Amino acid sequence: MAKVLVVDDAAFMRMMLKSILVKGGHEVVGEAENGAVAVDQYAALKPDLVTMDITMPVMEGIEAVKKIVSSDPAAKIIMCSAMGQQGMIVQAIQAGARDFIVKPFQEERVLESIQKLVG
Amino acid sequence: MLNEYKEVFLEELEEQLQLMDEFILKLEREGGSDDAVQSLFRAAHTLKGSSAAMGYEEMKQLTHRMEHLLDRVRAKKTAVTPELIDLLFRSLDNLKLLKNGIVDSDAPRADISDNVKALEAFERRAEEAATSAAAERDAGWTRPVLSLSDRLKVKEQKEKGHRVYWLSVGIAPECVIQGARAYVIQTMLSEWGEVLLASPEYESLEEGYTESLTLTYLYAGTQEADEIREKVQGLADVADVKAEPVDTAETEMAAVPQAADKPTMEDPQSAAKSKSQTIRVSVDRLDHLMNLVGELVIDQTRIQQVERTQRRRFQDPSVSELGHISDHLSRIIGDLQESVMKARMLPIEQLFNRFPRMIRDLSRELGKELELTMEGQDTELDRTLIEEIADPLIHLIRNAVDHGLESPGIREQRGKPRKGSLAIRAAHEDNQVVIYVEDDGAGIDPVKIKASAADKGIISAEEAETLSDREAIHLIFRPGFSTAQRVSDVSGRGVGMDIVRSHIEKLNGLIDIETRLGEGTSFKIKLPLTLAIIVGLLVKVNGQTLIIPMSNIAEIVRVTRGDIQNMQGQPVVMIRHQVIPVVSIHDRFRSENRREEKSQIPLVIVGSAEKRLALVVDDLIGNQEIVIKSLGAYIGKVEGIAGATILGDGSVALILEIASLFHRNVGQ
Repeated sequence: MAKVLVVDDAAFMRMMLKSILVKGGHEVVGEAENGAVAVDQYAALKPDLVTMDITMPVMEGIEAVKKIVSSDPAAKIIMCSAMGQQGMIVQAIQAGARDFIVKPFQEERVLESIQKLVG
Repeated sequence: MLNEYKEVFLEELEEQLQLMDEFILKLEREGGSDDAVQSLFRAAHTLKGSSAAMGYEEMKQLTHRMEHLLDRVRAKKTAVTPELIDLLFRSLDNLKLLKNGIVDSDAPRADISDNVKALEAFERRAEEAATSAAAERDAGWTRPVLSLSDRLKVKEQKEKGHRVYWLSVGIAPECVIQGARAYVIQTMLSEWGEVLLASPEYESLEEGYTESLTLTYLYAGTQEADEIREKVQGLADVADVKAEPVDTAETEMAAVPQAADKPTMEDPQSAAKSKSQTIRVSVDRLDHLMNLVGELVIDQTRIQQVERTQRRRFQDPSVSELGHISDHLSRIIGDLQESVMKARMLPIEQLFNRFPRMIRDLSRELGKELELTMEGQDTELDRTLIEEIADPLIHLIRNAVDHGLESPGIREQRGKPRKGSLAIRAAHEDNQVVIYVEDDGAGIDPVKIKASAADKGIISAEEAETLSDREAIHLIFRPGFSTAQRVSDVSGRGVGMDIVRSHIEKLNGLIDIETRLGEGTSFKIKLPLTLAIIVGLLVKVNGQTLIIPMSNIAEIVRVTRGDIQNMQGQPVVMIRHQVIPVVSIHDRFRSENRREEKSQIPLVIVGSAEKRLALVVDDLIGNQEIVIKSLGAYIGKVEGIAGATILGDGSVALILEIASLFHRNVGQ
């Protein structure tokens, strides 16, 4: 079981992810709707894992990954991406994200990815 | 599971579509503005993600194509052309159709296949132009043999005592972004050891499904073959792994293209407003809450009444305490009512946002040039009102563009700027919302209006003579009136100004018109802030209490019987040089008229401008906040009655529907 911070600008996506995570026995300790909030939340909540959307207003996912990893090099961040974002994922991984999952989310693949990182 | 999300999905969909509308227009106006392209791209991207998750395959396809195309625009690989803008608008229209299909399963199904094809074709053409040179270069690629430096690296690693393997990594077929997956694998390998070569390079991998993909790495590390195989096997999307030790002879057959520089990432959005803290609440719940508050208001008036009678009967401290409690309760209910009302309010921006696109299409269609200015988008009003006022407003705007504004040629002849101007403004004015639609067009010609009305038999020729200009102009609100010479596609589709007017009056609003020939026309719409609770004037008619919505009332006067005269069989009264028809509510509702011979008759003047009626009542009681209740399904809609309310003494009072009184008066 991991404590997870869910970051996505679409409330709808957060709901989807949350329900997958909860079903998988994880605990969603926080939600953020943009990168800036995510950085603050990470510092405050110290989650085991972060799921991070890439395109968001205010602060994009990659920027947030950079900020979080610079404060905690051991941070485990999974990027939530979609078709068309290959270049972005690569940048996110370069910035320190550990893995990525692809929308639309498939439950078992999301949980597998988390398992591999925290298990 | 998906159903619970549908509502949230639809709401966000609506937001995103509006954003798209706004930004495509901006793109058209400003050319390839980075901000607009970026926002459009993001909107398409978000929609693609959510619609895919909801299983709306067509919407996903369409947004995917849009996103793809916008990505090219963003990377400046494709220029912003009128063709591109039209294509984006077309796609947006189709998205709206798809959305309607989701909301209402009976709505006509949108066929997006042509649209998707058009997007693909557009992109293909753009790509062909841009990449023909690159394609030539790529075609000549063969797997290069290991360079001398590669071979040296292998040698070096072996000398360090590291093991060097050829890793063959089969990627699972369900992996969709293979390039990124390859990069993750390579990153992990680099953590465990060193990647000397990767083939194919992740940058060369296309997105999307491929039958099978095998990545080959030249890897150096300390692990045993089994150990590294297991590690790689544990990574996401890895189907199978082979690890074979490398001998020098073999290394000479390996292949790797050189990596090109990656495109740099766009700047993160810096200028953005922080989101206010909000939760989404369904309108049903707010409606219910409003209803409950309404009940409280009614009960509170009753408590006050009881308290008053008690006070008259008993001199007791407990009665005065009841009074204190009742006063306090009033205040709290007042605050509560205001808060709930505020919770139901939305900025009118929601509605206004539709207009720029509409104006753009209209002006193209009609060959007119105009500039739209909008003010007061943040003016808030009840969300039901926003929905209800949309049609009348759209009608007014269409009329203004179609009939009001002249074509550019005529404007120049008349010494006006070529571009017409249309202003839509909203503002709060003493507890009401006022919306103006103003154009600087030809104005309305009272002479033409009179002639046209006489032609159509709306007024007689004699009547036409007696009408003032102002009265004449108001004829456009009469049923059956339309001055359009030809029926254009835009206005004159049978929905006349009379419908606009009665629609607004149903909302307890008023519409007024100001026009100057050759200079322009201004429509002014006044609306209450909310529909559920109104201020009403309580009047007595034949012993029964009736309520007239305050928003309909222009003034209240007392006249003597002698002031009421007869004109062509219609009782009228002259107030400030205006002839106003007098209507007796007794007659209207066929109640017995026990008219006592009073010297003064109270008249309630309702309506506005030319269209006024003087209602005869027996007594004026006073004004009060009332909660509108429907009469219920059993009784249904009654002509002339807008609803009912419960008064302080527990009795039911009917609320008059002023708009229908006018209708019946016209019908006579």
